[in-house]
Amino acid sequence: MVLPSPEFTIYSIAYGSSLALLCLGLTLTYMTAKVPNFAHGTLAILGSAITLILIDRVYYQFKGEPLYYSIYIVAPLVAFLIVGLTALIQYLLILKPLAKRGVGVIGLMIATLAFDVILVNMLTMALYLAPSAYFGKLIGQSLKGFDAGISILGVVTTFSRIVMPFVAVALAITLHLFLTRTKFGIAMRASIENPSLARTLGIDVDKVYMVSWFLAGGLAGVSGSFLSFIIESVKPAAGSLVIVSIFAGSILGGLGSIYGALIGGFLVGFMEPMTTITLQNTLTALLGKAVIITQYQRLFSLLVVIVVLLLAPQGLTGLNYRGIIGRARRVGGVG
Amino acid sequence: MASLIARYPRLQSLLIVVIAAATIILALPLLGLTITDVFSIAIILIVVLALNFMAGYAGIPNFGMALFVYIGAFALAGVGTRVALALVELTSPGFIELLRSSYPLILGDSSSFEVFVRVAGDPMVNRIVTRKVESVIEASSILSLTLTLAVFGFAIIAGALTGVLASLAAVRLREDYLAIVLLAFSELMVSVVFDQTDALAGGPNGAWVVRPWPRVGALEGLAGLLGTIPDVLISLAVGLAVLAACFIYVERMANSPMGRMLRAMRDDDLTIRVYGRDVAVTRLKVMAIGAAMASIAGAIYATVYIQVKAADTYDRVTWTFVPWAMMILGGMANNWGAVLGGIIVYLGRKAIYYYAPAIASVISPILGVEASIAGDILRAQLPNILVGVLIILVLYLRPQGIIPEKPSKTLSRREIEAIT
Amino acid sequence: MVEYMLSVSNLNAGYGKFHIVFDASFNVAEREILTVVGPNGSGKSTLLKALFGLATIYSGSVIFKGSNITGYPPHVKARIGLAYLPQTDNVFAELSVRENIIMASYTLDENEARDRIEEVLSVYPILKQRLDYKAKSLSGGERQILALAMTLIRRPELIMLDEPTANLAPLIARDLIKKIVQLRDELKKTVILVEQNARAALEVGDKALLMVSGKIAYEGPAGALLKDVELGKRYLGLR
Ligand SMILES: Nc1ncnc2c1ncn2[C@@H]1O[C@H](COP(=O)(O)OP(=O)(O)OP(=O)(O)O)[C@@H](O)[C@H]1O
Ligand SMILES: [Mg+2]
Repeated sequence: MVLPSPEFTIYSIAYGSSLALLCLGLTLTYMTAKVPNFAHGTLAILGSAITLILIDRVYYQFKGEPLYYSIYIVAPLVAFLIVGLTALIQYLLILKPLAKRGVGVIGLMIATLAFDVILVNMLTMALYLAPSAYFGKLIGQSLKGFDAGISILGVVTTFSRIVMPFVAVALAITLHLFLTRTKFGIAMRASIENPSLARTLGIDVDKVYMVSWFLAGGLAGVSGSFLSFIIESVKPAAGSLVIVSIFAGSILGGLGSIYGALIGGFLVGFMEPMTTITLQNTLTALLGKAVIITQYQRLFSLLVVIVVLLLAPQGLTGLNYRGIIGRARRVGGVG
Repeated sequence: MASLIARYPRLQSLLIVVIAAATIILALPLLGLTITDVFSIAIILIVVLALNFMAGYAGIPNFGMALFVYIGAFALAGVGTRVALALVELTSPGFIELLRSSYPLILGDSSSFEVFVRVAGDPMVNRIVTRKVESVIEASSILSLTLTLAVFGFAIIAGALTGVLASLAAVRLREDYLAIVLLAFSELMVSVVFDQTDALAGGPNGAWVVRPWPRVGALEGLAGLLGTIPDVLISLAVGLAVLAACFIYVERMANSPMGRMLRAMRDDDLTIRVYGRDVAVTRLKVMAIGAAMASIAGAIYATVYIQVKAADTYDRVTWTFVPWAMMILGGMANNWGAVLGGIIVYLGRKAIYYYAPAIASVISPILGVEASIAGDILRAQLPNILVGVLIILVLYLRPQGIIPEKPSKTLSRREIEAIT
Repeated sequence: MVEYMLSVSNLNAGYGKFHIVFDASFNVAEREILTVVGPNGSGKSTLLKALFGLATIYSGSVIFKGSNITGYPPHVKARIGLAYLPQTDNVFAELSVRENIIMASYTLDENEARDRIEEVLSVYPILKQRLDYKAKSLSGGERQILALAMTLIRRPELIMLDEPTANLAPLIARDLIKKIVQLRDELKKTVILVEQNARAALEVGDKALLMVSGKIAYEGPAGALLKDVELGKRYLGLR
């Protein structure tokens, strides 16, 4: 087996971190609206597009200057707000009214797919038609050249890849504190578990759900903003493949726990490129000629979806760990 | 406004009728519809009927239709081309050798096996060889009949198998899981596996197919009588015939005990819990039949649109999303509704396509973009945006669609038991 | 004219297409216990849910202290002095006992909440020992006590209790009924009490409703219903 390089490992950690945030958001909206949001991948791409536009309009002038580093704060922040609002609009304008009218889960799912199609096509139109200051045209541009380089312990990598995991961890901790230490955060968990009881206690469940959707969208925006430096190019249609990995991580996490989503998302995002590159290097070494399989990388996500649903549809959080550990002990003859 | 509409159900119907009428009137300039338009409508209607069977009657949220349609197209592009080459080589041995000597630069050092791979996998070889093979095949009614049977046989079997495989992981689970799995499977098969593997059917460049129809010109005796009939007319005839057959099949199915069982399964969670195993088996059957129908549609489609590109032509919006819009607009679990919705949405999209340049000429000065560029972009994106808006509006205003499902008598427990 | 605490007229309610409660009309005066009894599935819980805005109201009106609150969303009703103890799922199982109590005091400001929580914990010391356990780890009786504490913590004026004694040992159940009487007599609260244990509930009730198949079959003094041999035998299993 040929192990991936440190550079590649750093890349995979960054990718895993951003997927963790995406899965977290998807799971949050799934727990509130009880419907998988098929537009979540495109929400992330919207975050990427916002970053692209910021660079095209403003930041290209500062490339190489210290001021340029503020992009790593400004872009995610702007993306957080705009994408958060977009998700909120999706919830308020589409899902909530439809659910209120008694539309079933299939209708709600197709409605999220409809929102996805609207979003992808509007974004495509915008990127084609919007005036561009630096790139000439916005569609399909790569931001790889705009990611500041950095070298740590002799490993050459980029700034976004180093920052992304820290941002993800910081956001996860913040969210955890919010959900366990603040009244509104506890109300969020309460409203997800038992909305009608929450209502009888005076909690405005609608408001809580609105905040959930805003947060979910916001996190997708942050994630997409960092992803924009990693992906080959910013294309609206890319969301339709990203969504498969988001579902994979969320299903692995059990679709019912935000901690499961974080773990599931990171595992899928980290393992997907790592496994693929390891397999590719190993095959190349074994066969003695260059084998390229990275274009099939996403099949890993599909495989995760299928295997988890076949073996443990409840995901990681649904597994009976005591039972498993107990069995392992008995088999191993310990204890 | 929304509450006003909610209060007066009549207003809903009126609104829908107005929207439908407006669409048709806007579509009037298109009354010079071409034969290919009629053909495309027939094909998309087969897909909508298949979807209605799966989603409308059986409650399977099939978000992966595009893959099943593509499998049919692959039956021609990936399998038909190779079967055709084999047929020609079998009946006139030395054909491959002849190809090699005619194109030494391209095929000179390819083994026979490699020629078979490259006939669909390599754009240049594909272009040359399919035309040559086609001229041999179309000269013989036996060869073309054999090819037709092989291609459609493959389309049906592979379509059904893909339908089963795609849903297997979630067939026992709730609808949302099923929807996720079907979307993920379809998306990855079409735009990763088929689109990234040249050897299957040309990857992103796609492959040209060998048209399979027995030529009327080749049917001895009739040749003089009819002359040669254009291929598209044969495809149209086949498409309409299959459409009729599918309509009759789905309609009869819907009114059979099996159909009522499907609806009971769709409407009642309890049925799923009580008859879990049978529900899984029934769902798989429905997946197989519906996917096979879609696959046949894809195969017929590829006889006219003979360059088959996986992700480019068989994209999720055109072959999954638009059929859903057609079905929801027309009325889920109503076949007449599905047909009506299909025609309206098709014409509506055409109309937007037609009017896009006019809209572009208005907005382009404001945006400071060239009118032709704006026109192209509007043509590509606007129909999709409007279909998205349409779905949401219909779900809100009239979730049962234009022609709602006919109420049917509910299935008694004894009947369920008798069927399962 | 007396102003009633709660005045319900011609209430029709249910769940979406399922019409469950038909034409219910009744009044509850201040400092009164209204006991609601009836066979299983007769619509007692649905009536309470409708009053609180958790079931669909098709027609009719609910007047609380003179103002029409029929269409108010539940969380607003909770803020104006109504409280409701659901029959099932009446605690947040995944939340700790402490978090459950914090949720119950959600509408109170910080200082008030702290005082009330302390007060409730001193009344129900059993909860104090379990503060950091998840509610799902409580026994059925402990859970019921937590739910009751959650209902009372906001000091509501009108308290609707759906089978509060379910899952409780007979002794504790009797104790609880006594507490409900105290609520009325000492704290001047108004109570609507749905109970399986018809005899005990009717004994403490001022007024009673008998629900049968979604309709109010009897409205009047509780004592009279207790003595009505015919109705008692037919619907309540009273001898
Ligand atoms: N969410 C719901 N949707 C549809 N029907 C419901 C729902 N909840 C209850 N019902 C039906 O409403 C009727 C009345 O139920 P309800 O719970 O009000 O009865 P109840 O008098 O409280 O019974 P019990 O003494 O057993 O608690 C029952 O037939 C029940 O099946
Ligand atoms: Mg009850």
